[in-house]
Amino acid sequence: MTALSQQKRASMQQRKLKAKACMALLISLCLLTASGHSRAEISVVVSNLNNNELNSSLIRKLFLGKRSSFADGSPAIAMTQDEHSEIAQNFNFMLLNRSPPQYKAYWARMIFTGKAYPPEQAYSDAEIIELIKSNPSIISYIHTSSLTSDVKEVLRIQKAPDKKKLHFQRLSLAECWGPMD
Amino acid sequence: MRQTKRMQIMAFSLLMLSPLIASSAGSSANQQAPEDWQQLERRINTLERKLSKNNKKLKIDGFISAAYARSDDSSITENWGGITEKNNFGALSNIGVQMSFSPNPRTSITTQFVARSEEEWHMEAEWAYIAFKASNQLTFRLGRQKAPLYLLSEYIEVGYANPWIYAPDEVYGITGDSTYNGINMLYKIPMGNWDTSLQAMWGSNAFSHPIVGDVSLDDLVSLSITTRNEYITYRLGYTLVTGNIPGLDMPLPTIANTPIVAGDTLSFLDLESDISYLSAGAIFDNGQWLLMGEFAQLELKGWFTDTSGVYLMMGYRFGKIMPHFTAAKMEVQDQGARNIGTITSGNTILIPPGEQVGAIADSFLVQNQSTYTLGLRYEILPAVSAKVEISHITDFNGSIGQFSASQPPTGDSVNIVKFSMDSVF
Repeated sequence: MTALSQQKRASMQQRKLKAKACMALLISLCLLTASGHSRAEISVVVSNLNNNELNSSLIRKLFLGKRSSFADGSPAIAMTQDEHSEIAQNFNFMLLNRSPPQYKAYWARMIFTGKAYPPEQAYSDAEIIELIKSNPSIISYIHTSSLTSDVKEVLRIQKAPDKKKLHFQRLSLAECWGPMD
Repeated sequence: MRQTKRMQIMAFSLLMLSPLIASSAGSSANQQAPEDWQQLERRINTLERKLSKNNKKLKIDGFISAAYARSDDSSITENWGGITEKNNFGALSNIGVQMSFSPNPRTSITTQFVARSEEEWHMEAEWAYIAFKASNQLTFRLGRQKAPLYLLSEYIEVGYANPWIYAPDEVYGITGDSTYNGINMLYKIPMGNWDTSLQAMWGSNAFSHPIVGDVSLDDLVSLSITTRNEYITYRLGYTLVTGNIPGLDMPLPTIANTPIVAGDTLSFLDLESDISYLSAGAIFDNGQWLLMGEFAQLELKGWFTDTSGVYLMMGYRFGKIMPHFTAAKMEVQDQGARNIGTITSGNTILIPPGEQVGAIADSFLVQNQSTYTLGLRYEILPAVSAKVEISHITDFNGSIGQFSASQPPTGDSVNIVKFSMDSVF
């Protein structure tokens, strides 16, 4: 029995090592792509005064109007960037799993059944930082490169490594505006 | 007449373009980064004001669907869009405008007006209610609103929010109107990764039907439970309502192998019955695959038929294009087994109430059919989509299906082609 379990443990350890190596490779790959496109990283930010625990599932709910308060019950105001901007489309795709038309269709369902309204829009990282400084209820997102000590980062979103996902991002801007010229 | 239609089309195309113009103006403004700090400060101040008054301002939103449809059977008219063998511009088209005002963060007043081509574009208040948010989990609504009979009932008219030009008639054609006056309670229960909401509605509706007269639908009780995670939505709903539909006399044509000749009358009994709607549905949407399925059942006593319907839909998004396929089927459950009424010839009762009347009336009351729809949805812009669909409708089994005509469809099947542009603004 002990021999068997030792064998098991050994193979487990081996597997763990393999997993670690894979993770390291993945992380370094991510870092590589990230260093190439630092603008692609998005930071979800709140006020420094906000000590609530926030995970991606809760943040998703706040941005989809399914929740309107933080863990401590205080009101939460989600704020997005201009829906046509690249950062908003990347955020909507990577965190909310919605392409621009899917995001629009989601809010159409919410609005016309009276369930919720989409978050207000800001037009730059600087605006968002200023707004959060003056209103601790706000939760929003900015480019990681624009982070300052005035706001607290609660989640970082890396650029999606999936080719298909990237296709979604591309079509939203370049392909959408193409036929108009 | 033709000119007014052309005007309508022009107005449509202008409206369709407006989100385009608005969004292009928006995007050119974004490209200019606000370098001037004073300008930025001004914008922040405006935004701050907007945020603090966020819940007080009036919100206006709208949706529009402009569609074209045509069938290949000249003897019949499709029930829901009035589709015939002619070029039907405007069939299944509608426009909706919603206004919402919040005097305080807990209260909001919402009205939604919808005008449809089938009703000659008369504006109707589909929703008009006051909502009160008792807590973050609990909201009450009082007023005119859509009962959540089936999975898509509340937003079925918002073309942009649905994959099809119109949801399958096999399920959505057996509900009728779902607008009621009443009180609605929405209770949200967060449970880990699953968001569960309970919806309960109590209400009534009364209207004047052009053929049968005053119809009243009382003591509607509608309960539904919806639970969803990131990809999957499950929904179960049950609605009970007491219907009062007055009987009517219908002139009959000559019917072979019966004593009935043209001019004889079928007198329907008054229909006073509990009507129940049961629906179970699910949606899977992972961003690329879209799978939807729903089963619905309508049951009542009296001359109207008990019907069950089901559809299954599958779509895959290749970027901006989503091809999809839907199979749908509806079937009457109590064919011939209902007490319908009496057939009279002048002052004489020709056929007393019974099965024989049932068999005669079934020829125009029973609706059996299956539809196979192949469609394509294309996202022209994030707020504008174009859809094209071809539907093959068959399995009538001698019934008229979802068509209005004196005879069942002449062939085994009917094909309908539809095209639409949908937008939200």
